Amino acid sequence: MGNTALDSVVNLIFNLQIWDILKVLLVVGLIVYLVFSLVIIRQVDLMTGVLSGKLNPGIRIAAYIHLGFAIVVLICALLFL
Amino acid sequence: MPDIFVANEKKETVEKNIPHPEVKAGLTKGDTTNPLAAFTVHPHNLRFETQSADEEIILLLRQHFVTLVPSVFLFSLMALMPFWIPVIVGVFSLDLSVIPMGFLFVGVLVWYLLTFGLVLEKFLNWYFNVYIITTERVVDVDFISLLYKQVSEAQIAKIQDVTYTMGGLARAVFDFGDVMIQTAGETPNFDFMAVPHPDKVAKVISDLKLKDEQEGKI
Repeated sequence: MGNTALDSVVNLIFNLQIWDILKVLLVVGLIVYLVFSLVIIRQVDLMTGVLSGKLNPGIRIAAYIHLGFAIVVLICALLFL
Repeated sequence: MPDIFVANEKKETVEKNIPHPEVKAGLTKGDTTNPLAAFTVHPHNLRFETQSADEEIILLLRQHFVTLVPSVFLFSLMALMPFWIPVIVGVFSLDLSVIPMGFLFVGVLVWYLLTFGLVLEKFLNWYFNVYIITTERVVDVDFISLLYKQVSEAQIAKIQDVTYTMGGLARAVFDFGDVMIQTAGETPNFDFMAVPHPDKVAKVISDLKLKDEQEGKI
């Protein structure tokens, strides 16, 4: 039984195609990017705290749009790849 | 009996006669109301973190727009890159049919996400890295990397020397350069890099210092 499970894992690894590997790498990369876009939101909070001007709400919105875009791309990667 | 208040009245008259430093430098209030301006005299609706209630911002400076040109050019190329793919494929006779459609679609989305992220980061760095000259001090706000900020400030009274440089064709044509401010003691020196009208900036700081000296603050 143990051998069969091991065999299936080995078979899975050897049968992986380049596109499967790329898909995993892309999804992992997009998850990391999602964290980065959350950091940008924190960064914008920090920056707008230092300098408050009338453009700050717009900049906050841009940071949230960026986060939303990152989420959409991650979902697309999970769905279409 | 001598009038002990006469001296104070005279002093007030002298203070009123001292023109504001920004006026002496040929700048007028409200030169621009553009929130994206790189050179703003008395910016409206703008405050910084450590600004005191009676402190007024005289000048708000950012790096000149010309310093953004290489980035704007790069981002424009990046934004147009997916449209060039069919041309590149045609020129080099590449076969895109080996790439699954899902990868092509997600690849374009990822490309625009990265472009958006880079544009946003560049803009944030440009917009929030500011140099502020107030009635009391000079402030340099630097966001060096993600989540790391450095705010340096020096009282006008601590400023010893102000120099500016405008070397190079682009700087001469577009009127921008560096302003170096030397301060006394352990206060850090300030370098205002690539700011518009460095001569006017230096004059405003020098006149602020002169005003402080005339008012007996130094």
